[in-house]
Amino acid sequence: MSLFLTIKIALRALAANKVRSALTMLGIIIGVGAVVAMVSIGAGASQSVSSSIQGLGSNLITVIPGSGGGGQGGARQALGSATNLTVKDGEAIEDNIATVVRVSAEYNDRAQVVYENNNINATINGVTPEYEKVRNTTVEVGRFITESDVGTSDRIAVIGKNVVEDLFAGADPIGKRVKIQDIPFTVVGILESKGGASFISSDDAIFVPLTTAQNRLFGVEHVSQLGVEISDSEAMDEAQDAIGWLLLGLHGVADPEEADFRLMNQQDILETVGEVTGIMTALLGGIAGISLLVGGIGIMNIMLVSVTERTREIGLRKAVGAKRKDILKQFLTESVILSLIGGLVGILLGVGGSRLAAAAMGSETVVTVNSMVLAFVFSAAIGIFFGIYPAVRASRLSPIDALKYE
Amino acid sequence: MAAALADPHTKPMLIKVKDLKKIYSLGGEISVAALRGVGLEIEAGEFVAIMGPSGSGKSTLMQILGCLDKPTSGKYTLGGVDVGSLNDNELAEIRSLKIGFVFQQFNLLARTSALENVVLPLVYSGQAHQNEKAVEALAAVELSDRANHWPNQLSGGQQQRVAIARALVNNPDLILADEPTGALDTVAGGEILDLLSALNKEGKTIVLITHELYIAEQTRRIIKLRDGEIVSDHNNGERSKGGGPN
Ligand SMILES: Nc1ncnc2c1ncn2[C@@H]1O[C@H](COP(=O)(O)OP(=O)(O)OP(=O)(O)O)[C@@H](O)[C@H]1O
Ligand SMILES: [Mg+2]
Repeated sequence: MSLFLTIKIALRALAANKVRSALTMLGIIIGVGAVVAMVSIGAGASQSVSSSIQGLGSNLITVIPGSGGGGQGGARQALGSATNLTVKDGEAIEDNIATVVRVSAEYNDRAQVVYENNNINATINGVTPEYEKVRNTTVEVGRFITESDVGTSDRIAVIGKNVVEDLFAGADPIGKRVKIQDIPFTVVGILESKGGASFISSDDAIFVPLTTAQNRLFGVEHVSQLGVEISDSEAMDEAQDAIGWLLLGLHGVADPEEADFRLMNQQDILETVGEVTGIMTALLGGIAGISLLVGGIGIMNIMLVSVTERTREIGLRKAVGAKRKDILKQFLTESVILSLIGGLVGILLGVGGSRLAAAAMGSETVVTVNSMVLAFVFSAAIGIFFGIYPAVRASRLSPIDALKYE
Repeated sequence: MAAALADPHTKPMLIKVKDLKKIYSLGGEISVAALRGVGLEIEAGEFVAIMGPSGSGKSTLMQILGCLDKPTSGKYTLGGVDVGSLNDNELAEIRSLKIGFVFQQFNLLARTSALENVVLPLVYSGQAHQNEKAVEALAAVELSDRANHWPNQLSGGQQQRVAIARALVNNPDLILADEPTGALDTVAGGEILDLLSALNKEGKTIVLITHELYIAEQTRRIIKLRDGEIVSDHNNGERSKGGGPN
């Protein structure tokens, strides 16, 4: 029997029970829709996180302090709070390692910031002019911190986009005076928004010269991190090793296990984040996949009912010459059509749903062709897998038993 | 038995059945012997009626002759082919090419037009010119004007005529009809019988199961079954009233 005819017969059989066919499809629609939506939301989240990490600067190695003593737990506790990383370390790195383009020494802490009646608690970033290049930052209005600002520990501030909203309620802040820990600062610039995940965004921060932060605001000598820009992504590993050995030498530590600092590069962070979002996506997709499985069982259930209902029809078809494979094909085609139409509608629904969810949550979604093809193929496979048992049962009916069936 | 049909120019036997037994086991010790050693030969072109009380094994015999079921033991040769040695697919092929069925309950596919019902055997045997042949078969049963009607839009007699068209469409060697008039009144039943007679005159071999003597009398040979055995088999012309074993 031709494929065309097989499909025609299957469609007619499905149309004979429209509500039932639609309800059966609904299981697949929800399953495929959920898988597509979850995977796109997951992929979107992972993309937005990695693009904001990339936005922090390219070819970047970050040095953060950490007390010596090896053990992960111990080191972690002290991360960032240790005081052994200094501007001098940064200078040494820049001077001694050829592939290092520039080093941004930074000190950050939180402080109370007041403008007129507004009062916020913001991250204060003490930085040098290198920050702008190393951290991929662009000034939108005004200027960034200069060498001479740092030299004179000037009381000037460059602010992130969100601070303009929070502190100045959108008014032009250039030239205005804000008080950071009761010390007046003049706003000289606004940074372009980086968007993305706020926990690593500069949009909420206030930038002041490094020396101003160290001497006038927080009274410290050390820095909280060094951002090291490397000339070439190929040279990253080599540079990271070189920085490690150099700092070990400077800090007088012989055993790398005892290092009082940690090195992180962009790639490591990206990989870690990628792993986390990958697991999250797989988890969401897996949960959605269960509903697809349930949809498949629904198909099997309905096909079994259908085989029983149409036992006499099967008997008659066999009596006039249908072979096993004809009957098998007929019922398999029905279940595959159910799952494929369900899959197609599910894909549309999933894409629409993920767009809606993205709009509602203000996040991104990435609907890849891959995920759609996968969902489609998967739903066809579901149709075959769950259709095969009822179809085999139908095909094995003896013509005479089937004809006599009541 | 075949000798009783003194036909000088002997045609090849279409059906040869020897010592056919069919035992239905109902699980455990219980079993029903529906056929207990039936021997039978039918020539091409014959018109045979099978009679007998209910439960005597008529339908069972017809199912085996129609390759719908396999005997428990015995030999069945159809057109020179030993049916016992065939597998399910080969049996399906024989059914689609050599045999046409007419059932008491019509057995048409619901929500399917008369024409599509008739075309069904051609679909499964994959023949050419399916639609033309089906249209022709419908014309032969004088239902051309109902080609696009569904079974539920046809009278019982019309449905049975569609079923006959379906049985004809493959140009089969053998038409098997199990009480084809059983669900019809005498007028409609008469029409069906006339149709079958006409087909026989055109050369088709027809085996007809019936309870009605007046129908059996229209055929040329009557075989009587009782308790799974043939108790009489004779030409209609030399029929002795009251039957009895020959
Ligand atoms: N599938 C089956 N399982 C068990 N026994 C069966 C089965 N089919 C038929 N029989 C038995 O076989 C015997 C013959 O049945 P069959 O249907 O051939 O009778 P019949 O001559 O066609 O009767 P009727 O005139 O009522 O149609 C009966 O005793 C019946 O109970
Ligand atoms: Mg019967």
